[in-house]
Amino acid sequence: MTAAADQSPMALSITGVIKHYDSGFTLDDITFDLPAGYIMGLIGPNGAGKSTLIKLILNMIHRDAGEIHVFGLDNIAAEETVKENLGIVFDSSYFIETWTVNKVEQAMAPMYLAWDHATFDGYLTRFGLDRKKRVKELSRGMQMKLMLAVALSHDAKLLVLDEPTSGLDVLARDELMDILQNYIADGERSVLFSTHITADLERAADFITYITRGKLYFTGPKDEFEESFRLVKGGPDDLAPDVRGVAVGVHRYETGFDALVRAEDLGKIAGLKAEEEEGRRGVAPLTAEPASIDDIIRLTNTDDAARAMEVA
Amino acid sequence: MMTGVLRAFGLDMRRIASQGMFLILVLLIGFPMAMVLLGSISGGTSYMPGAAVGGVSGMLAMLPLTAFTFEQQGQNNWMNGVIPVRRIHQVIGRYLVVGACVLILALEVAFCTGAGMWFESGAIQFPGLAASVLVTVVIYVLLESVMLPLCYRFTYQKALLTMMFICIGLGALVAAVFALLAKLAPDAIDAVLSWVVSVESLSGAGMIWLALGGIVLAAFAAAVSFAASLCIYLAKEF
Repeated sequence: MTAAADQSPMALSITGVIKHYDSGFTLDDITFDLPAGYIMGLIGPNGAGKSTLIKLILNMIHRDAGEIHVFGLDNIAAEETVKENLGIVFDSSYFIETWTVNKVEQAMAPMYLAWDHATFDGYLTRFGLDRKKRVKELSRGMQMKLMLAVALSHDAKLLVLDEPTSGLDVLARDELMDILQNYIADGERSVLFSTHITADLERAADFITYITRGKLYFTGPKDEFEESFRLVKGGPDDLAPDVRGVAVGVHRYETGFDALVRAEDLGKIAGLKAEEEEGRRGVAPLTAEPASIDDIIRLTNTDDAARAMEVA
Repeated sequence: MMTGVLRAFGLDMRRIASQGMFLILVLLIGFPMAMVLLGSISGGTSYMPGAAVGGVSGMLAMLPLTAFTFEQQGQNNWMNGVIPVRRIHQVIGRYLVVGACVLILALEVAFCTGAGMWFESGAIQFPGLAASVLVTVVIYVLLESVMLPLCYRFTYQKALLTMMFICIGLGALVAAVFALLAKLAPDAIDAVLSWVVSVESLSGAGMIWLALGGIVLAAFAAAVSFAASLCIYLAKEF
């Protein structure tokens, strides 16, 4: 966390949360904080536990252990107050399909003390949503915008979005990121959004929480996440034991391999030292490049990485 | 607490009215209107109150359950996790919907039965009218008391199927008891039948006791039903 973030009150605080399913999947000991005034991207492959975590925040499923606080309030003990301050967007619409946009407002407005008809109306205009249209007549992207309009119209202090960009084209995603940036501008509001589309994170997220196989892999500033890994590349015969030893995950292909290595472990790879010595002569066996978020997700979910996590 | 309950009640009413409030109103007004029209044209027709009460009861029995069908459409049940209403208040809100239906049912039955009596004999027998209303309401509450926990536990279709099996089971049980009585103690059947006749002809204090018994039975069933629904819904994950 940054120094400024450390001093901010926590919009969301998750401590030691565990959720076990009979299927065998376990969301295991998840702990992270989201300071007020920031955007956090919740990332991970399909089935990692992102939606489970969001449902735990909303008390839609029951946790087996741990605590969840929203603006200092327990999400179960103070459920009504917490949810008054939450704006929620799911990856698919939760409104009755036969409702018109107008009926959605009629149903949702009495739910919130701070419902603002003018704000809702403004978002409908901005998103091009027709009040007379039924929910089932809206495209997936428009349904997401309707949920977003509802989420933004009752002065919510924390937006929780589950894969909000999955049905959107690039322009709509761009617009959403603008809205989120404006939303947190007063420094009191925050956003937690899960996504597969890492380009959204590059643009909007201040923090990243990365979950894979139900375990917390990383939580902290986005830049720190990217800087803490390097992508080591080499030819088919260059995957030496020293690389294997420090690689978090390796992907082999016909012409070579990609290995994800923690930045502090780079010095342990002999082939990279040789690169420094021989690089000038152009005979470098291995190269180290900055790792993108996609690279990190991809290579921490290889079979090697899975085995390493199990051992850990 | 009241805010949460009223929010849940309001949302359920909107769910129920999702297919159009007009249709529900037409049906609710339609039965009494048909009674009056048919009665005015043809005079007394003894089958009419029964048919009207049956129709109204059937419709009102299904009405609160449609909230479950809408919840089970798509991801609408997620809305229950989004709104700032505790689960206990959501359950109370749904039982309030049933309570509202009980009031409407009582009014409809009173009107239809009263109109039937008026067209039949030119006068309303109030004890008989009260008995009709009470019996209908008690049966309605008993039915809903079983249906609601089933709908909380299962999908709507499965709940209806389970209810059907319960009714068939009860019918089979009664038939078996009567078959046994007919074989082992034939006099007992006559005793039961004469008791039913004596209950039908009860008046005064006897009637009041019977009414109180019905009300207590309905209240007990509703309380047990609420506790079961709450227990199921609090444990539910969606």
